[in-house]
Amino acid sequence: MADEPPIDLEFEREPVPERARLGFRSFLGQYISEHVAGTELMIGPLFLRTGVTAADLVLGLLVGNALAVLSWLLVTAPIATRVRLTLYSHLERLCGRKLVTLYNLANGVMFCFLAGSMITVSATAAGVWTGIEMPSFADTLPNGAGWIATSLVVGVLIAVIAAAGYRAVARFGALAAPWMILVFLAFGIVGLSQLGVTHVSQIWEIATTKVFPGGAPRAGSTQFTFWQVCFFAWFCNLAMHLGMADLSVFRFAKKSRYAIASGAGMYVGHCMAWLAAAILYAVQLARDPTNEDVLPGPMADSACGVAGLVCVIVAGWTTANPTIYRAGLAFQAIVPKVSRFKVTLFAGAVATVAGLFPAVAMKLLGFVAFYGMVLMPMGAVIVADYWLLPRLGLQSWWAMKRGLEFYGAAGLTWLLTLASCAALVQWGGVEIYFVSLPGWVLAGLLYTLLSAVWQRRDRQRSGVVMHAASEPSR
Amino acid sequence: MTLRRALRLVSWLALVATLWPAIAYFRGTLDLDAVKRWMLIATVVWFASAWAAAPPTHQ
Repeated sequence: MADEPPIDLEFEREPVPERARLGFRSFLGQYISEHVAGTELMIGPLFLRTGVTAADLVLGLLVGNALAVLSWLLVTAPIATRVRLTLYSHLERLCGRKLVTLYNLANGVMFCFLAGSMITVSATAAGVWTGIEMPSFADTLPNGAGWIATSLVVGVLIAVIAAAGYRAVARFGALAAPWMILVFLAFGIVGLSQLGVTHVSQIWEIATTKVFPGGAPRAGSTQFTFWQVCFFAWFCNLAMHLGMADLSVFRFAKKSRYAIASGAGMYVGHCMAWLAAAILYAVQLARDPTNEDVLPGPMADSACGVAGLVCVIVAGWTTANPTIYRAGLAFQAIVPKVSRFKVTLFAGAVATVAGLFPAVAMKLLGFVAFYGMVLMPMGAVIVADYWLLPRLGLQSWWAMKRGLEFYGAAGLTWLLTLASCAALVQWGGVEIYFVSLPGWVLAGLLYTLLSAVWQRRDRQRSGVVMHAASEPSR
Repeated sequence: MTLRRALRLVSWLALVATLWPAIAYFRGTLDLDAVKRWMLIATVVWFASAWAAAPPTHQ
């Protein structure tokens, strides 16, 4: 027994074998529980602040979420179920260990900020009990000792639990998911009633006149139409679908078509929950038009009391937990000798500091778009490497075949795509919500072009060292 | 097994009871304080029964 190699239960370095593959229901549960998060309580109100009309919002959410599901179904899952490797393992074969390290650093930092916004959301609920002065929408820095203390306590608790008991919280998250969905639904129903809806037939009328009347955006927000809503809904999980992070998830799927399960998460979490949260904000504005603060805790408390507050804390906590854990994993790949406990604690500390600053949560729409933009190019690189390169007579997984630690074609593609996207946003007048679509196409084309140059140059310099197992499954 | 089934039934009823107060409020048959109270009770029952009914996990 002692001579046997350790079993890689998570299959982090090898393709998932047939015996470990999962059925449709596993993905249904995972996507529903992961996409009913604390941040949904911020996004709904932030939509309302943009002056979007009800028709634009509803149509934008329906189309945008459908595009997100199609991205998982047609782009991510087909590669995931053919290659069956984690994103990191796939990328390492494609672009080398050092470039993956850079990717991990970017990914880890983004995860920390995302978790920070979840800590902020949970702290607004804890703050209702402690009676502290909450940050306003315009606040970028911590607004007082009370807020700092509450956020620190919430953040440290989440960080320590993520480091020490990740699996227990993950189980608790799965347990809480059905209840959370119903509490979100209750937020919407109670909110509509408080806005004067007494019959289902009045919902649309109230939605168009009191919840989303349209008009100019509120201070600090930009105007949203159908297009911004549609692209935001499509790209808020850009890193996961077109960015290919969910290769790690769907490598376990028996069939590629199981990716349709993501639709449950999208339409429950990114449609119903956002609308319910927006309705709560509309109630707050109807009561006091001068109170423009986006604070999920007080809003939930006014609609559903302690159960609402618990929902905000649980929604923030159970989604911050895996986010901090994933950030820890990303950092651990950079410093493999440091224990997972310590790196997760470090990630939690960074997230806690980020959570102290309300700006991260209050500017969540822009941050989520930025997060997707930063990681998206490597997803396009994977797609081009898998589908395009062999058809053009080029080699996939060049770094592995050449024994490279940094594949310049992939690295340069990432850099040039980000620079192009930043230039388009800064000087081209393109909003950050839209820039990732041309960016993704550009990254795919750039990688193909640069690979042709790199591979021809490498071949001329020395012969290609081909490894027997260095071709992705097709 | 019988106890687990009973707990599962209780947890399902608790889920129904989580949403029911909001619907009753919408229909005008419950006031907001009662909504908050019933939702809290349903929450406690849900977590207790769902936790107890969950199959044991093996490390």
